[in-house]
Amino acid sequence: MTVQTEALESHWPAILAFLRRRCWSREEAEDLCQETFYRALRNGGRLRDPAKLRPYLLRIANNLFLNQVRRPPLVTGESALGEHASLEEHPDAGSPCPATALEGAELRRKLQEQLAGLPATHRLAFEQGVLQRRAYAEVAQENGWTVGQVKAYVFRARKQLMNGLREHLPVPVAAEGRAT
Amino acid sequence: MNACEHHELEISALLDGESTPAGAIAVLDHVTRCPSCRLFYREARTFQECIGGLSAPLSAGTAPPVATPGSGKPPAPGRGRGRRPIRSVPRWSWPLAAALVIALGWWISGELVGRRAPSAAASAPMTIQLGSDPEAMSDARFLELTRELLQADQGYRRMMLGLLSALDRGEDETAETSRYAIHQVESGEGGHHEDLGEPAAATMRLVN
Repeated sequence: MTVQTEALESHWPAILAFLRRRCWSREEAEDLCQETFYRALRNGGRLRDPAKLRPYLLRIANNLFLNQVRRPPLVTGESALGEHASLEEHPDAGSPCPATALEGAELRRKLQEQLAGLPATHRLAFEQGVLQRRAYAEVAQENGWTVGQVKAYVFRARKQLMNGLREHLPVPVAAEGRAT
Repeated sequence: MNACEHHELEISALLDGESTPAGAIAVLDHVTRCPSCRLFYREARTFQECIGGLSAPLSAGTAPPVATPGSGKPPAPGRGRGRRPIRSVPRWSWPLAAALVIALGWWISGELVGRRAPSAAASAPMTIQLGSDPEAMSDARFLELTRELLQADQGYRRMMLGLLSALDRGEDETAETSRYAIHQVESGEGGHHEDLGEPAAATMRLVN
């Protein structure tokens, strides 16, 4: 671990607290916090003055938060078209977002199919650890596994699902855009 | 398991919020330098965001019914990693908030109007009844009415005192009358039923 990564680590709680005050949920703040540090590490060479590290991180975090608020969701949890009569009338129609509500319904169906095809342990770990958003330790305790097993099961399930749904997922290109 | 697969395992745990800050920084540091892991990180984040909106109906089982419009409940609180609406509020909160704002505005406006304008009873002009026969005005009745009037209107009482003093001194009484009119305009007095406890001597003098 370099000096820069150690310095970044010391700012993690402050950035997380900053985002926590803005986001509705802790999970949302954690996601943005990870993305903040990822971008800071990716652009690490640009920062010469360590004293300005925290303002720099705060700026990235704030911009990411604003982008997140303005951006429409990739896939909605509602059914295919909701109250709209056709896809053309849906608010997402014409949006640059590649996943429309119709694709969301298709994705849900495909995800159910893929989940059914997973090994039982992987499916259970993924459902409890990811979909039900429970802690790995809790899942491990409930099923008599170790945390490492849960971690591995979730990873295997996630990777298999990602491969199976690759053609239905938006291409992660826009996410590489600059937030600073 | 190769090196990148190990990092992918850590990325998976990171997206589930199972990494410490030090572990997260180490993984992210590697992600910035490894194109393969960077691609996995991006794809995994996208996947996470997509299933975040689907997780509520899916988490009930592997083959749950599709949610109907308007029946979707927000995801249960917990360690979610999918994308959730930021600062979302329940639908019923908007009408409630609007009703509260209207009620507050109505109350504030009522307070302001109530303080600035006198009540209807206070601002109503005083009515003095002359009796059943308006022509039957005796000295006693005149004094009684005058006393009632002077007790009710402080400004008018002052004016009358000034007028009486001026008459006693043999001065022009119109000066006192105009002075009272100017005082009324400047202070906004007139028509108020106030008894501010004027000196008893003045009242006695008038009654006598």
